Amino acid sequence: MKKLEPIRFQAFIALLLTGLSLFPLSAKSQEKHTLSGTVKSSKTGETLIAATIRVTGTKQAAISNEYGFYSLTLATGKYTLDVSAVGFKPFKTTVDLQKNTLLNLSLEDNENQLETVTISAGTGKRSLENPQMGMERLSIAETKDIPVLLGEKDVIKTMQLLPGVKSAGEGSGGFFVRGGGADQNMILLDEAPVYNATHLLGFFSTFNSDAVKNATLYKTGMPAQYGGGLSSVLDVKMNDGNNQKFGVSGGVGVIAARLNVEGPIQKEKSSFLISARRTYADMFLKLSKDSSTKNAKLYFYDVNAKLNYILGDKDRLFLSGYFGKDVIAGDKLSGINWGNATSTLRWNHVFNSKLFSNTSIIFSNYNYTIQSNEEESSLSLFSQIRDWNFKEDLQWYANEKNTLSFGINSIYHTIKPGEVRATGNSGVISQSLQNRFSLENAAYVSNTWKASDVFSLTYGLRVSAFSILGKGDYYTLDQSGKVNSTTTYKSGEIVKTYVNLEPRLAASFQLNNSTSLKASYVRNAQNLHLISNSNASSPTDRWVASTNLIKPEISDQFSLGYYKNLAEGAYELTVETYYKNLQNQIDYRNGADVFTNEPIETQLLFGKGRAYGAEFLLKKKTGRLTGWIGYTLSKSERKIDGINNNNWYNARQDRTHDISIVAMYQLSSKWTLSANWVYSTGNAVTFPVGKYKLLGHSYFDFAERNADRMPSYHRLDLGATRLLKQTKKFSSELNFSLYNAYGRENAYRITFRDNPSDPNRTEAVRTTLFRFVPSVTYNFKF
Amino acid sequence: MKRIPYLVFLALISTLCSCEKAIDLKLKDNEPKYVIEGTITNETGICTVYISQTKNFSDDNQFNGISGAIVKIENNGQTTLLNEQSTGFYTTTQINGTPGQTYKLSVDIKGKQFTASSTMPQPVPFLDLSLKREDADSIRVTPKVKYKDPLDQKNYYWFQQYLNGKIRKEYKVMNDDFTPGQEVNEYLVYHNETKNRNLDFKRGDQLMVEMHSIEAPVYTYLFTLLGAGGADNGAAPSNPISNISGGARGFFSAHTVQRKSITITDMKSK
Repeated sequence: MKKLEPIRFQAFIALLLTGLSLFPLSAKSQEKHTLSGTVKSSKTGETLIAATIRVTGTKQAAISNEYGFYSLTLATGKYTLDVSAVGFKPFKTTVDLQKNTLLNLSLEDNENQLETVTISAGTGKRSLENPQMGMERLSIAETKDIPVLLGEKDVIKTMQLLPGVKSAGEGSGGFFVRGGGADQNMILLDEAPVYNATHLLGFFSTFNSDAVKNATLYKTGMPAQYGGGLSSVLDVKMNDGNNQKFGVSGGVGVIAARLNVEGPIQKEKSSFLISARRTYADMFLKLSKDSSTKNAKLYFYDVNAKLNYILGDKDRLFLSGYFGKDVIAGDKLSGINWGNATSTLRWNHVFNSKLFSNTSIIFSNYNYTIQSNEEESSLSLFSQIRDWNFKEDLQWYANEKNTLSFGINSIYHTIKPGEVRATGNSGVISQSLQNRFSLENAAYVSNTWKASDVFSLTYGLRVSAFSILGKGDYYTLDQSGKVNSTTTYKSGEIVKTYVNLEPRLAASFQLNNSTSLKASYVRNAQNLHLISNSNASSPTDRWVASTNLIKPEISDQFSLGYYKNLAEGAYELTVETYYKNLQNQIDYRNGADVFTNEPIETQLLFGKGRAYGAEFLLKKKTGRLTGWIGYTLSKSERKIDGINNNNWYNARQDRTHDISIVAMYQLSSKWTLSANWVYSTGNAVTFPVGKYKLLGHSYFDFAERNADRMPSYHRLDLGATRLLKQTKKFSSELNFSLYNAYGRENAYRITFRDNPSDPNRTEAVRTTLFRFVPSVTYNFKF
Repeated sequence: MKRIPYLVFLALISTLCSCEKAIDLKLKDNEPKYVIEGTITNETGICTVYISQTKNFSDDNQFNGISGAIVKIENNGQTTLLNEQSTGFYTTTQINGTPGQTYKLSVDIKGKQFTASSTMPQPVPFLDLSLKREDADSIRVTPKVKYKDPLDQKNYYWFQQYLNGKIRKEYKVMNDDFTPGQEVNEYLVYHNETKNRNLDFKRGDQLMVEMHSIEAPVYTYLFTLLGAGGADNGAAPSNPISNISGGARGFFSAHTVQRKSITITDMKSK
């Protein structure tokens, strides 16, 4: 594989030149002008991502970027533009293009959609001509009617209902994409990496739906601007804040309450948004008779805030922040707390009608503390990962055939693996594991070349260089994993630099007006690894950077897709297949000691992985009844030296079949009904093959890793939304949901033990978490 | 850490909404493996090796010893043959285990060879076993052990727990990664995890703790045995890392023994 790289690189350069060589040709033909501007919501002033501006009577179209900016190059003349975006009323406008023109577009909310009974649902119109594959984009409005556990609507849980995306477990806000691990998803909130995207034992995601504008998931073909995540990128964008009018919205549910305040600072020029939520499950604990349960703490809160200034037609400034915290504590306040904090300062600048720039400075922090308190002693373990991040992204709408994006990114990571603080007589000496420092640099360029009306090609390259920096000790290990030499590096000294070339290739070929074929290849490298011995994401999972011994994880993914619009776009069929090859995968050794002050490498093993599958998605997008049916057939395996006798074994999240059916029905102007049903093969797990007696008690004997299956998982959720009041000034609704409506006893885990009433037998015990969980949420807005 | 956060997690999960149910599960059967549990202590004439076999999960819990094995222990060039005292239970009083000495076990079961070696560490004084009222209730009792870790070498400890003379499944292993040369106060956990209230703790119950100084491979075996069933958080189960070569389950340990007992006199109400 390595030998191929130079060839690939040459091919890439050749391709880049092919595309650009077309510039003079097109420039000669006729005088051209550029139409550009920003697309926004007329009601709130929020910029709209992925709005489509289609030039009627031509094949030309532009799609607004993640900051609402679009650019279209056309010959002199009069045009009619067809402007549309999911959840907004489409409209037509005319433009007489005699010179480069700035045209900002505003769309009206589709609020009285009920009367028209034409509701666009799902992820908007999938582009047939754009080579981008494996992309799912959801706006919050699209998640609002889907029933979820305890009524906390959640963009990640809606993503889990799409093919290729699997829930990390019962009720979980964690997810697996195309056979990858939960840590192989790069999760970004306003460009800032979020290192633990779940709350409360993983049952909720960190994304408060009040503050989120939309979320885009890339399962493959990640645009070259993204790097660092092996199996997916989830790019979540926060709302900018209403710059038209002051507004308050919120909700009260069975588990949490939310409040969102936003409004203009100076109308149409600047706005603010602050959105907060807190759970109150701990109030119920107080009702318990058991004193230790009564004194327990169990809550999370999070706050999203954003300021946004429009400085003329060319510049825009954003400052956004997120802060969230979870606290779980039992007797004597022993327990764990963790939280993420991120902040992003962004400057959008339009150099000219063809060149758009975004410059960001990003801070990101994740830490947790485990606290254990006794009468005579206390012990705490603190761990942290902190990033300073600079990004410059440029988009150049070079001509009607070529759109380039290029940029650079530089991140300084500081990881504090563990700091032990002890007081009292436990004998534990306060100490810190060495901090780990690294600098991650990347540069990228990518071009989307519309070669003809039916053929488009995206080709790009991301070069990433990950430098491990001193100060600190780095090790070599012997065969058995024991340290046999140590090298000490000084502050700022480079321990090692890993350079990875990450090509991005994608092509689309339109067979006819309603059908297209796409193919893509992408390589991704990941240098921050979550070392986890658990299935559900645990806040104490340990983030480690690549070292001289821990190599960057690398994936190569090949995908093919078939896309068809049926019944004039009322239905949409998507079929995608993929094959993914993974290198330098990491797992704990058997019996690893998670809490040790030995170098982490002594507890790890390395190997490779492979994943492949086919995904089918049929969507109904119009009418009273909307929704989709998704099916995934897939396989995900690992081969790690030292595990399972070095043979291939199923990854835990290998689920052969995965089905989801989502339906929403507009019953009347007041009622919306919804249902979803999911089915999946059980996780691959290891069950005992025997038992034996040792030290007077029975223990279980195991053979192959993950050769057994949990029972298959299925569940029906029902939801209903009742609109209570809707006027210009105030609106309110009640949302009802029933999670696991037919009470399927899905196995959360299966454990084995001696039968307590007959110690002469052993038994398997299934733990079921959620059955028939009803919830009611009241939402309001004024 | 006697109240590790994960227990807090689990307690809260079960408070939320969970239910447990015994289910029928068809498990694969494996060909039987031999199980060897060998110990030599520094107490006069204590040297025992128990040999048994794995069974299928669906079988009962009557584990029968394996007869007819040739069990030998070699120390300083002197080899002692152990006698089969009862079925599968091999013993000798010829060896007086001594700290610093290395013992080599060899077992021949119908032509299959298994070997192991273990060096007995120096004993570390077991200073105290104590129990406070607030650390005892009917389902959970957490007595405290005290010892002084010697600074000059890596030390590993194994605390075996007994209740009214009967060995418990709970035990604790410690190393001195975070406590070199310190006086250590650590809690042991007696926990009735079953719903059988007859097994609850009560006043008058006698707790006995055996403290062993063990060597690193034995620590590894016992540490990995604790996690062998797979953690509740979904870590994959795997067999513990044995110090016996030849493919048997179990372990062989030469260790020191000290005992302390305490009676539950007072407990808080649950």
